[in-house]
Amino acid sequence: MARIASLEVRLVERGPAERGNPLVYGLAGLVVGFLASIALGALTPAGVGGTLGALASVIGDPGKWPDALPYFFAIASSAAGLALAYRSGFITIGAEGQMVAGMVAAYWALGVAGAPLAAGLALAALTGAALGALVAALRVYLLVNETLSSLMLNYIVVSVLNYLVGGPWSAGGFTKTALLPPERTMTPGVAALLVTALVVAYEMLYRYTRLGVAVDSIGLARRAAETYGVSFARTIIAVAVLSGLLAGLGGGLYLAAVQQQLTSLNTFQSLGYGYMGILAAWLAGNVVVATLASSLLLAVLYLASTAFQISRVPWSFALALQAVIVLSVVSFVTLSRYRVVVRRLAMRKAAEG
Amino acid sequence: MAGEPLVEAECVTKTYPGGVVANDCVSLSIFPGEVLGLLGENGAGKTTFVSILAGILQPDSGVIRVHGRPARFSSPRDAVRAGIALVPQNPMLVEAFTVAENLLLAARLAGRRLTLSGARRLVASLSERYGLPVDPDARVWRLSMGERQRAEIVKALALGAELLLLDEPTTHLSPPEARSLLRLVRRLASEGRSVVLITHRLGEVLGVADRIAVMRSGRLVGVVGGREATREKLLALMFGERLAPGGAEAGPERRPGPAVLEVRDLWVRGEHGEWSVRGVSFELRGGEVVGVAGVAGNGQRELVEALVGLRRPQRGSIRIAGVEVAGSGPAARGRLGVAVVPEQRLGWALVPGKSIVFNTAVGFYASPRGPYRGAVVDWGEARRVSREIVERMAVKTPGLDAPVEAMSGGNMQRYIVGRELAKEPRLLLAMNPTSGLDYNASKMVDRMLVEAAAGGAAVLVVSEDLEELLSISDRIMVMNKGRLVYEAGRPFDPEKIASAMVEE
Repeated sequence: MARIASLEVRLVERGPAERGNPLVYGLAGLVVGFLASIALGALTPAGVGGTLGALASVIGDPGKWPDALPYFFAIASSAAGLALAYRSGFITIGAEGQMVAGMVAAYWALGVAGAPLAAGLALAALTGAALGALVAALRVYLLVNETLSSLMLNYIVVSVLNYLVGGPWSAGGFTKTALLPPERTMTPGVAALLVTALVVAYEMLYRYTRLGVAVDSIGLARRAAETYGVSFARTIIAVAVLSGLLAGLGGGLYLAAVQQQLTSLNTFQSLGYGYMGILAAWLAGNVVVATLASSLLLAVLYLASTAFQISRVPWSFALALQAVIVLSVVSFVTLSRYRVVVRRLAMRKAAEG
Repeated sequence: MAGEPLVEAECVTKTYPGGVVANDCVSLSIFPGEVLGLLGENGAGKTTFVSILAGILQPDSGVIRVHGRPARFSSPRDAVRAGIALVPQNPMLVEAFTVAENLLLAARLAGRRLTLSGARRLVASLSERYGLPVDPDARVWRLSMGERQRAEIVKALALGAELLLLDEPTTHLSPPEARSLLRLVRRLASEGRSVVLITHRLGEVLGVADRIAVMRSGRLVGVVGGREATREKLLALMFGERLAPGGAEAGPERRPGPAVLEVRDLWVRGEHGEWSVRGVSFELRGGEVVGVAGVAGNGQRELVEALVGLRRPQRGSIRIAGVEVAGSGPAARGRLGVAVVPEQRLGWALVPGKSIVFNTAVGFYASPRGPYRGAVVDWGEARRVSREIVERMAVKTPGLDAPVEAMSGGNMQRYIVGRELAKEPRLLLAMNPTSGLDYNASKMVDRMLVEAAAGGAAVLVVSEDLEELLSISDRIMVMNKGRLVYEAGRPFDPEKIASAMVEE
């Protein structure tokens, strides 16, 4: 509840019969968000017209849509596993480091050891899984907070990457390695299909196996879950491994399908998709399969931002516009579950006598 | 009652999502200095009504007046400021805080000036004055349900409420403590406060209340003066029909079989390293019901947690069907056919926010009879089992897919007991299994526990309701300060049992 001047504003939860479809509300929020951000373009040198033009040049051009695929599968490979983890109450932010670790492992296999593509991707996945398992083990056996440990691991992984890129694997200079041979690369489309299939598989695991029962019960009522035989340790380790596996694979796929070489990264910003995955998981309400939709949304926004770069819309403003759109979607989805009730305080006081 | 009412409710109506009419135009006045009993079976609407008076829920329609003026409580804070305090059936304290810190929080929210040291002194003085022992510096998560309830009562008194709403206040109290509380209620009334006593125990209202209001299916069906009220009149108002035949005493003949549970020299530490269970040894045979009596906070909870596998004993042995399980967890015990009815419904027996079907899947997670084919969940089977449980136990619910908290407390308990019995357990551990249930429902649950024993299960019932234990048990043990201080078979001597419960 909030008091604004003489008004009292409250959010009242709607009953099940009154609730709107969050997808419909979300889409409405998307439209409103886009319109608002275009209108806000008036504040930039590009103006409303320039902003609209930049967006249209990307979204309105089907030829450019495949450019969103790398962002989509990279974000989705992080988001789906995180959604599962968050449902169990395991708040890890390690997908970013697991992706980068996956890229490093894949590069070693494909670029250094000369292994086939499938082996490189498998190693990427296993590396991510191992990192996930480490964070989980620290939590389960030593009570180390997983948010902190996973964040620190992210920094460690990026530091290792930068050492390798600037040192043993350098292609001259400190910022990149040699490119992968063409036979050890793939197209973004195939990568996107693979990630989509795995996300659907994760959803099936959640819905139809003991894992889903364990995840939700541990997340909502650990004591009840444990009383009836659900193991907290096994559940947390399982979700951490699954999350790391997909994120690691996402890193391997990003290397093979997009970058095709390793480049040095800023320790704190890193690659970024692992962190975007956190937002995508949240937007999806931690529903695994819905992360495909939220990842697609963020991918389109990311793509639109790159379009702004070649117009006169400043990059920082482009980020702000992304935030406006996301905020609009979140607000509308919230409205599907809650009614806004506004009362004038003066009248309420009169009613009380 | 002379004079103007302190609080009036006029045609208060409340409907829950799903269409359940919890309160149907309920009109009731509460006068200063009176004790008003509020009776009704599970789901009658009593808790909803007092939740509206306490500001926790908002009515869909109707008027509440305090001292003759219309009042609209958008939160409990408004109600407390108006002089109304609720002592809920399930204590609603902040677990991480101490008792004094909880009082401080409530006082600040109610706009009262209080310091932490003032809160501590207030708790200490009120608990001594009114005979409700509670440590102001104890963290709530350490306290048993009975101790939490006492803390809630002290908190309500400290907030200076003119009207106290006590929702099933004797649920977690021993008989002597319950009598003491009822004396307290009369004393509060004589000091000018009003008390609404919600209970399903007729004996409590008959001895104490000035008037008794009876609710049934969301409606107020009658208000009877304390002097004119009789057990028969009240039961007739509550149920409107003949009561179910009482008592599990007339149950089937039971011959105990081999030992199912063997506990030897069990020592268990509590939350902060203190010994909660001290050298407890006993045996439980298939086909018998053994009751564990005792005042809340004497190690019963820790004993049950050790038997369930949630708490590892430091010393001693627990064997189930000959298998040593002291070092293993709940899953191993579930596979051996152990079923559990915990003390707390939401959060311990049930996963809140999830459906009955989901909770069935959780409850059967380790059971050999679960709706699982290896790692795969058979949701169809889970649904079928859920439907059977709901029908067998006459559970009132908006549906198998509605969240479990849409059920009233009593219906949740029916479902929980039904689910555990559906496992056809070898050993059933039940803590306060009829907590919050009305007369008919309690008798049904008791009957089912006895039938489970007749079917060969070993049944251990830990309960603060001595009447219940006397009615269904083959043997009763008493726990006092972590030790088993008394054990006897039939015929029971209730005075000896009660005295073993409270002796130092």
